[in-house]
This record gives sequence, structure tokens and C-alpha cells, in this order.
Amino acid sequence: MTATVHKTPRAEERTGPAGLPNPAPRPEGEIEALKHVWRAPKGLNFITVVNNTYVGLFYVGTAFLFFILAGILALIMRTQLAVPQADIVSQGTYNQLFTMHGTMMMFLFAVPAVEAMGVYLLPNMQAARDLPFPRLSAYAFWAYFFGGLAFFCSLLFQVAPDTGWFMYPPLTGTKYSPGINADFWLLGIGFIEISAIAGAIEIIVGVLKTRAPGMSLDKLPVYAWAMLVFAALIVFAFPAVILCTLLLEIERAFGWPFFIAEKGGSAMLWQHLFWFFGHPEVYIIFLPAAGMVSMMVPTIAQTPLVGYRLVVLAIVATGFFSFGVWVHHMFATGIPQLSLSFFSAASMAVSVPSGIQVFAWIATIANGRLQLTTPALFILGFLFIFTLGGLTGVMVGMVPFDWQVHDTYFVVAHFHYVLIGGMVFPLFAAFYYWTPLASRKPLSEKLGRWVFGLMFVGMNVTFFPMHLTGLIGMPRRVYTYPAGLGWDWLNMTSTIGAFMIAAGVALFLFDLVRRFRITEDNAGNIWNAGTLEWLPSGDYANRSIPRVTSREPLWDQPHLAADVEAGRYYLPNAPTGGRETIVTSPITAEPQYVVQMPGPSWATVLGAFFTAAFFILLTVKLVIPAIVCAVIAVGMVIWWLWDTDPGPAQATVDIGGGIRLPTYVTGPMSHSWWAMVVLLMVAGTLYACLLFSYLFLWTVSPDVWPKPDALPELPWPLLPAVLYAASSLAVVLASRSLRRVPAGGAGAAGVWPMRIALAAAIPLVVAAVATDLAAQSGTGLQPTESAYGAVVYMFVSLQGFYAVVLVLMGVFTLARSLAGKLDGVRRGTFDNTMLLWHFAVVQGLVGLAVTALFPRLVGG
Amino acid sequence: MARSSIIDDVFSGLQSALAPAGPNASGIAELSWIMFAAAAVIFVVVMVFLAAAILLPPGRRGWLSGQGVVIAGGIVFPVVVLTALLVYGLALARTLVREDTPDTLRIHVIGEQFWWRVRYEREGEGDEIVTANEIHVPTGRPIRFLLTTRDVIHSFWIPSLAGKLDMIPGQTNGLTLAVERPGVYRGQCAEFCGGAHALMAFDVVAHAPADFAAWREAQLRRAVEPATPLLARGRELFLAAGCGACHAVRGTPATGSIGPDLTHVGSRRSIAAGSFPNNQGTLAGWIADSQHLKPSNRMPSFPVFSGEDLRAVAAYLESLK
Amino acid sequence: MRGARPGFLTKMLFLNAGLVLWAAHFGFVYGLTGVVCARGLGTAWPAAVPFVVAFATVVAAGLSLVVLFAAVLGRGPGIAGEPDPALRVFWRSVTGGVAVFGFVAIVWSGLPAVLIRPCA
Repeated sequence: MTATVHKTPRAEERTGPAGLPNPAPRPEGEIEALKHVWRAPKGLNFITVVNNTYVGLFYVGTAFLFFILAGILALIMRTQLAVPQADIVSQGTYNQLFTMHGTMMMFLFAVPAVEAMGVYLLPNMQAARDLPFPRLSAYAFWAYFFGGLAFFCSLLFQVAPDTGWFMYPPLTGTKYSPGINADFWLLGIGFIEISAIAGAIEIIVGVLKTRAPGMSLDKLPVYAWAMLVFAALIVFAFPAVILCTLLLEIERAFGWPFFIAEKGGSAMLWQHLFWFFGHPEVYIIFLPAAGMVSMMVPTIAQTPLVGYRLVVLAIVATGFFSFGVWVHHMFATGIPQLSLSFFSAASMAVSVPSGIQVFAWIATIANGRLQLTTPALFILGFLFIFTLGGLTGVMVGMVPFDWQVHDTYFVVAHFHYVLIGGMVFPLFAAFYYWTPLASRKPLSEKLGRWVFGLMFVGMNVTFFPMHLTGLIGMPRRVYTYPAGLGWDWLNMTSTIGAFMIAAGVALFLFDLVRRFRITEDNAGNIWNAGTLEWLPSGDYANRSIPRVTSREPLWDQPHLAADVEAGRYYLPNAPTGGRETIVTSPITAEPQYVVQMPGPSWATVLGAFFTAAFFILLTVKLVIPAIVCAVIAVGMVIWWLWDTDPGPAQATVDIGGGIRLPTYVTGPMSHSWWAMVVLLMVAGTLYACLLFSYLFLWTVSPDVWPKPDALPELPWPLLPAVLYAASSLAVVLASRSLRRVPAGGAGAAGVWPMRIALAAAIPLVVAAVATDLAAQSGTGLQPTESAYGAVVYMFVSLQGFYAVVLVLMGVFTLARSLAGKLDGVRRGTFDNTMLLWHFAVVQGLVGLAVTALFPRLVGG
Repeated sequence: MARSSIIDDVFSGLQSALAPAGPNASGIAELSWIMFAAAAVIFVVVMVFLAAAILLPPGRRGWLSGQGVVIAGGIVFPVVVLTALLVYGLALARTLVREDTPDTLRIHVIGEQFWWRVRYEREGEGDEIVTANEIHVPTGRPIRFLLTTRDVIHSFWIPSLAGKLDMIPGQTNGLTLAVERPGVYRGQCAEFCGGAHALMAFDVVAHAPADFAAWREAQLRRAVEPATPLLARGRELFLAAGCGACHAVRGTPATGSIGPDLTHVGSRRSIAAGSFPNNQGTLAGWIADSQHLKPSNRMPSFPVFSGEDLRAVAAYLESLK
Repeated sequence: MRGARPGFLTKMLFLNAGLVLWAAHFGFVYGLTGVVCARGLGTAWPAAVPFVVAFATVVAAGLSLVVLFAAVLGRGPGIAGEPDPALRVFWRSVTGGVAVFGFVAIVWSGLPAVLIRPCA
């Protein structure tokens, strides 16, 4: 497994003539070659571009578009609520408006926006040429773009979801929501979540594996730490919401009663799964924003961040604690008080790290000399608003207080303080701060003051009164309210404030249109910042990849920018003739190999388009066209993947400083192995959530659990278990024989044992799922009869899904072998198939054990 | 409507959590004020630190610029304050959840789209009482609400009396509270429950124990017989139009149980779950056009009645005191 | 990756040990209370809950202190044997800080068990 691991050089001493890795001036034509390799496609083909700087900008722009659209929805709502008993919009429209406002702000603006900033900034900050899977980020963006627009359009046809962004069943079940409104949410958002996960995998591998040499974890920019934890939160939180949307959609489509109390289901199961995602979601949005603030504050104060280690600690702790607070959205559901108290305690704990960060920023400002630029204003506004939101957050963490304010305008005020304060203001600060990286001209400082003033005052005028509105009794999500309860003037004030925010955003847009011009010849380091994203750059990112020795290399390493630009650092060229960047070790960031990366392809754009089309067509119940789109989408992905496992272009390349690195690596060192492992963490979390659902439904409705004699007889589950084990064994054998296939020896007879073993594994895994299904249905169990039946068939269905994926991947791997693209060295594709295979088998065995043994244990 | 002052809205609002009228709500109000005061102090201190970090001359702000202030302000201080708050909150929470005592009045409230069905358990000789959208309670006696739902999730909330508690399919949630002084307290559904969620309110009317007994007495009676020909015609039309398929009026052939029990509808303060005041005009309007007044409620509009007939039905209903 | 030196996973796990302990403690006490109360397991079980929670709290908090002391003493994966002094200091302080956080949060989670009756 570690055959291809090379001893990593750990050598500051191995440097070029000028003390730097490579001599300058660089050979004639080198820069032109580099530019040619990394150039963005021209004309219509431009949309196939995969460079992170372009995809990142598309991504940020689209997220901002959804911010404006969802903001307009908010203005309509505020207009309706300005006076009691208004008749601007109907009840039905209003219900769609608030559902879409919440859903879009969360799923189409906030998460994509911070992910987009990560795609744009991270490689630059780490001096990588791109993220390790450029096509994956392009696919994630386009899937989000097409899916998001289609989702928004449901509003234009008055079929938008109208049951609130948290979609509580049974209101969202077919009995009370027979239309397709809820399906739009479940399929539309379910799909966008997948795009978020794709981005998270990219970011985790990007942060851990593609950094500037020498950027060990203690020198990692705080923003990269924040994005690492952000991505980890997505990995562990999003599967819960994917599972619950899946369960609800299956309930709606096929009548499997997961959430229907009469059949042993539970509305509370949804709430647990949804909020297990929903609370970390808040930190998923906040952490990247806080990370950006930790990058901007040192620059505007012109001094390094005070308490770097404490801030990293705070980010890590926030990540953990955010998983211990989900029930704090369910304090009023009648859960026993002791259980609530655990979550109350965790809600206290999660506020401490925010305090650390606030004081670290204050200390940094005190240590330096604040320049009152527009980003600085937005950061000060952020500190003001977010501190208030944090304090009300501690209040709602207190169980008795929450019983009063839960689902009232107090909570509306609280989370807008946290989200606008904690995310929108830092994002606007970031827009002003990083625009000089992307645009020829920075944004206007003069207008920026007005934008800030309007947004800051407007925000407080809108949301501060809402604390009181809620305390004196106004619940959320009401399209109108009676006069005489004291709510009138408070609502009028909030409406006035909302239009002030809108005016601020409109002014920002005006400035953006006037001054923002994407260019390679950007405004540059106008703030005198210390981090690597401010190095001179082009489509190829940096001319050469620096070795860094501190957290603010531009401040501490004189001439760094000039030396990087002159190509004196690592990899100033494109030695394999394609796109490459340096892969480094995860902790110490020592160079390990040079990764060859794919370039632009229509496969990503079209694959995303047809994936989105599949989901949307399924929503409107056009099943046949949906299936056609799914087949095309899978075809596109296969086309895209076909040339992403290139094998070694040459044995090693010289990146300078005497370091020679391999150009292709497989096994635990490779970026593709890491990505697969992260994907398996996502899959494992999804499965853990399903196991939780099984146990939870049992605690709620033990009466629908079968007596042991109604289960499949014990020998029955053993048959699929043996088949699963046999399929894994076949894959192990295939792996061993593949190791003996020499590079380029695909035609030799020696490849056949591998092909036969892998081909044998495919029917084995299919048979395992089929026999499992036969055993369950043999007892007469129906998925529609009870929550027990539903959850048991869910186990089987999930295995069925994996079996389909494994068949596709198995056949794909065999096809590569037959095409001569698979051998003992070039085996990345095989390794990925193998990892997923073993995972699915272990999961299948766990499922068999649970479904066969648990009812016997508790029902005996 | 006279414009009330801010102070009135907050401290004696009909639906204000800061105008407590019972021990549950006052315990929480006390906690709220403590937290508001503490939060205000902490907020001001943090902002003063921030201002000092920006405005003090560089030589005089060194104390703010080290890791020490981050540890003191970001870790030590919050841990101390939050520990105290947690202990206080837990102790308070413990007092808010109480067991039944023998004199507890037990009232079942069933949430429905978009109204409240109310059922008093039988006490002594009396039968159980079924009513809707208005809950009468005695002061000075523990009252246990047993909360369930017939359809989706609702949330039962009377801010002046207690925090809210959800009504969830498949489970019964119990909320015990007491009312200190007679009065009217408004409650409202706090969990989005579909279309007309905004129009799902109710009144709690608290009486001195003797008055409550009288109310109970009155509720146990069957519906009054029509006293005038107009009211008799109203009852006739009510029954002929099939209203009894959904509504019950005890003492008449109307025994439906889909909608609210109307035996004493005329005695209630409001109609359509706290949405409109109760009088002949609103009753007539409601019968004729309920789908416009409260879209997606389950009662169809009855445009079939002539103006005169409508008046008769409304007058009949209003007479059901 | 393999061999005498601890791998990435071990180092990361140790760095986060304090909070991993908190998560395990949290999951255990919540799961226990949830199952005991939801399944109405008589009176003996609910009566035992506070003691089990208290015991779990002492164990988990104790372990987090062990991690803290290890970090203070410069022991443990990622710290001992790390040649880069800056990285060693970093790993040490973050490990210790995480352990302190874990300790406080574990004690906070245990507090309700003494103050609140289970299953009410």
C-alpha cells in the first residue's frame, strides 16, 4: 500500500544559488508555457473554466444574487407586516415567502457564499495553483447554479414550498401538504446539499494537502483553520439533513411512514435529524466569516493576530460544541427536563469560543493602529451586532427563557443578529477587502461609508425592536396580526429599517457595477496585508510556490513577492506539460509529490446541468425524462473521470532546491485517497443517522417492533453476510493481483486474475443485497405498514443504492483495465473502488446484525 | 383604538411575557430581567474595551493588547458568569415543572388546524365540558393542561401565564400552571401549523373560584331554547343547512364533532379562534364568507343564505350564551 | 505514514482529545437519559440516572485532566518528538486548551444531574 511513498525531503538547507530554490532569470518561454497551460478557455467555452479564481467568482456572484433575491422576499414580507391586518400579499403567498426567504438565505446564500469564498481564497492563501479537484468545484458550482435557479423559479409559479424552512412533518406529509411545494424543497435542497458536500471534501483535502511548503499547521492562516473546521462540520452535519429529506421524500412518494405517529413513526425523528444538522449549520456559516475577520483585523491594525493559538482553539471547540446543541431548538417539545439541561449546558459552552475570538480581535486592534477603512467599519459593525446576538444566544440557551421566546420575534431578532452580524457584515468587509485581488479598481471608500452606515443603522432599526415584539407576544411566521397588542409601531419601525438595509445593499451594487472589473492585472496589495493571497498572481496563480517561515510571510520575508514573481521559488514551470501543484504533508507541509490536475471540460457543466434537471423533473413527476437526464449525467461524470487518473507523467520532476518529486502517487499519501476517506466519513455519518433513526423509532414505538418469531429465521441473514464477505474478499484478491501488474503491462496475461476477481465481486455484492431483501419480504413485512417496516427497508434500500454505485465503479474500473489505464502503479481508480467496496460491505454487515439481532435482544 | 404607551404594551399587554400573572411566567420574567441587565452590562463593557482599543493613545492601551486579556475576557469571565447562570437556570427550571396535586384542575386542549378544542375532565357530579378557543380557569389553583393534536404540530402559548409547550402527534405533553389574578390573557399558536397559522389564537379567562364555579355550572347546561321567532328560524336554518354535521349544539340534533362545539358559542369573547370579536355581524360575515376571512380553514363559506336568513342564524348563535 | 512515528490521525485525535471526551460523555449521558425516560423503565432506572451521570462525569473530567497534564508535561502524540519547536509549542497549547474546554463542558453537562429530577 505504501510502495510509492517517497522519503519526503525536509530541507531548508537545500536551496538554489541565491539562497532560494531556483535561479533567476528563468529560461525563455517558461512563463508563456505556464500561462498557456493555465489559460482560461475563450468564447462560449469560457463557462467550462475550472480555475478556482474564476469558479470562485462565479460562485460568490451567484450566492450574492440569491442574497438579493431572498432579500427582496424579505422586503415584501416587511411591507405586509408594516401595519396590522394589511392585505399586500395573501396568506398563501406569505407562507411561500417566508419559507423561501429562510431556505434561500440558508442554503442558496449563506453556505454557498462562504464555500465560494473558500474556493476563491484558499488556494491563493496557501500558494497552491488551484484546489486539488478543480473539476469537482466546477461541478459543485454549476449544480448549485442550475438547481438554485430552478428552485427559485418555483416561486414564480406559486408552487414554492410553504411550510417553513424547517419543514416539520406531519405538516409536510402528503396528508397536509398534497401539492408539489414540499417536494421542491426536499429534492431541490437535498440536491444542493450534495453540492455543499462536494465542496467540503475539496476544501478539507485542499487545506490539508496543498499548502505552501513550510506552512505547518502552526503557521496555517486562521481562515484556513476555519475552513477546515467548516468543512468538517459539513461532513458530519449535512448527512443528517440529507437523510431526513430522503426519508420524508420517500414517505411522500411511496407511503413509508417514518414520521406518521399512527403507524409508529415520529414527528420528533425529523426534528432530531434536522436540528442535528440545523444547529451546526449556524456555525458552518459563522466560522468561515470569523476566519475572514481574523485575516482582515491584523491587516487593518497592521500587526499580527493576538492569541493565534487561542483563536484556533476557539474554532476547533466551536466545531465540537456545535454538535451538542441541536435540542435547543426543541426545548418546547416536552422532552424530559434533564435531557434539555444537557443541551442547555452545551449552549453555554458554545458561547465561550466566540468570546475568545472577540477579545482576540479587540486585543489585536489595541496592539496595532486601526485604519478606519470600509472593511474596518464593517468589522466594527460586526463586533457590535454579533456581541449582542451572542448575548441573546446565551439567553435562549436557558431552557425556561426559551419556553417564552421560542418561535417568537425575539428569536427572529436573535438569529438575524447572529447571522447578519456574524456572517453578512464580515462578508461585506471581505468584499471590500479582497476586491483588489480580483478587480482592477478597488471599491469606493467614500460610498463604502454610506453602504456601511445604511446597513448598520438599518440592521439595528429592523431587528432590535423585534426582541421586544417577541417578548410582548408576537409569534413568527404570521402573515398578519391584530391591532391593539402593542405590536404595530414595533413592526412599522422594523419595516423602515429593512428598507434602509435595502438602500445600503443597492448602493453597494451600484458601486460594484461601476468599479468591479475582473482582470488579471489587479489592484494588488493596497492594504499592505501579510498573507500569501496578496502575492502577484495570474491564471496560473503564483509564478513560483514559496517556502514560508511565518504566518505573515509578506511582512516577515522581505523580497518574497519579488522572488516569487521572478520564479526563484518552487515549481516555476509546468514540467509535466499540464496543470500541476505541489502536494504537501498534512501537518508539516513538506512537499510530497506534484499532482497533475485536469483542465476545463464540458463534462462538469453538462453533468451538473443534467443532475439538476434530473432532480427538478423528478419533483414535477416527469419520471421518464428525469431518468434520461440521470443517465446522461452519469455518462458525463464518467467522461469527466476517464482522464483524471493520469498515471505518472515521468518518474520525478525537479521543483527546485534539489527536490525531486514523483508526479503520481497512490495509497494513503495521495489526495485522491484522502478525498475518498472523507467521502466515506460522509457516508458513515449518514449511516449512523439511519441507525439512530432505527433506535429512536424503537424508543418511541416499541409496539411496532416485531416479536423474534416474526423476523427472518436466523440462518437467513447469514447468507447475505457470507455473500458480502465474499465480495470483499474478491476485491482484496483483485488488489493483490493488481499489484503484480507491471506499469504499462496491461496487455499481458498477468492482468486477468485481477479482472476475474473484480468481475466476480460484482455479482456477489448484488446477490448479498438481493438475498437480504428476499429474507425481509419473505416474512411478509411491508415498508408501508409501519415505521419498523419502513426503516428496515430503508437499510436494504441504502445497500441497494451502494450496490448500484459499486456495479458502476466496478465496471468503470474493469473498463480502465481493458483500456490499458490500470496497472500496479496507476491504480488510483481501483483504490477508490476498493475503499468504497469495503465500506459498503462493513455497513451491510452492521445493518444485517442490527436488523437480525436487535429485535431479538429487546423482544425476547 | 387609543394609542397605548410603550410601557403599557410591555407591562400590561394582553399577550406579553413581561406582564406575568402567574408563578411560571413571573419566574421566567425575573430570569429575563436578570439576563437583560447582565447582558447590557457585558455588552457595554465589551464595547468600551473596543473603543479603548481604537481611541486610547497607543501608550495607554498596552493592557488591552496581550493574550492575558483574551484569556481573562474570553475564558475566565464567561466561565464564571455562565456557571452561575446555569445553576440559577437549572434551579428555576426545577420549580417550573410540578407534579399533579389532588386539587389540580385538568383541562385537555387539542390543537386542530386552526383552532383549539378544549375539554374539561369531569369533576365530582359534573359531566365533562367541551368548548373551543376560550379557556376559563379559576385563580389560585394548579391547572394542568394536557396537550395533544389532531393533525399537525401546534404550540400552546399564553405568554402572561407560562412558557409554550408543543402539541405533537402521538404524545401528550403536560403543562401545569397557576393564575394569580382574574383577568383575560391572550394565547396564540406558536408553531407554524399551515395556512391560517396566524389566525389561531385563544383567550384564557381567569375567574375567582366562585365565579369559575358559576361559569362551569352554566357550561354544563344544554343550549338555551330560542326565545323569539327569529331565533327559532335561525335554529331551523342552522339545522337545515347541515351545520350539525360538523358542529354540536347540545340539546339539538346537531352533534357533529369536526368543528367547535357551539352549545355556548354566544358566551365567548371571540370567534374563529380569537380572530374576530363575537357579535351578530361578525358571526354572519363568518358564515357567509369564512374562506375569505380565514383562508384554508376547514369550514366552507355558506353564500347560500339570503341576508335575512343569515341574520337569523347569526342571531341564533349569538343567543347561545 | 506508518511506522514508529504516530500518524496524522493519532496526532489529530490527541489534539482534540479533550473535546472528544466531552462528545463521548455527552452522547452517553443524553442517550442514557433518553432511553431510560422514553421507555419508562420502572422507577429503579430513573433513580439510578443521577448516579450514573455523576460517575461518567467524574471519569470523563478526570481523563480530560490527564490529557491536560500530558500536554503540560510535553508528552503525547504530536508533541513529544516533534523536531520543530514552534509546531511543538502549538500542538502542546492547543491540546491543553482543548482539554481545559473539555473539562469545563463535561462538568457543565454533569451539573444538571445533581439539580434536576430525571424524566420529569
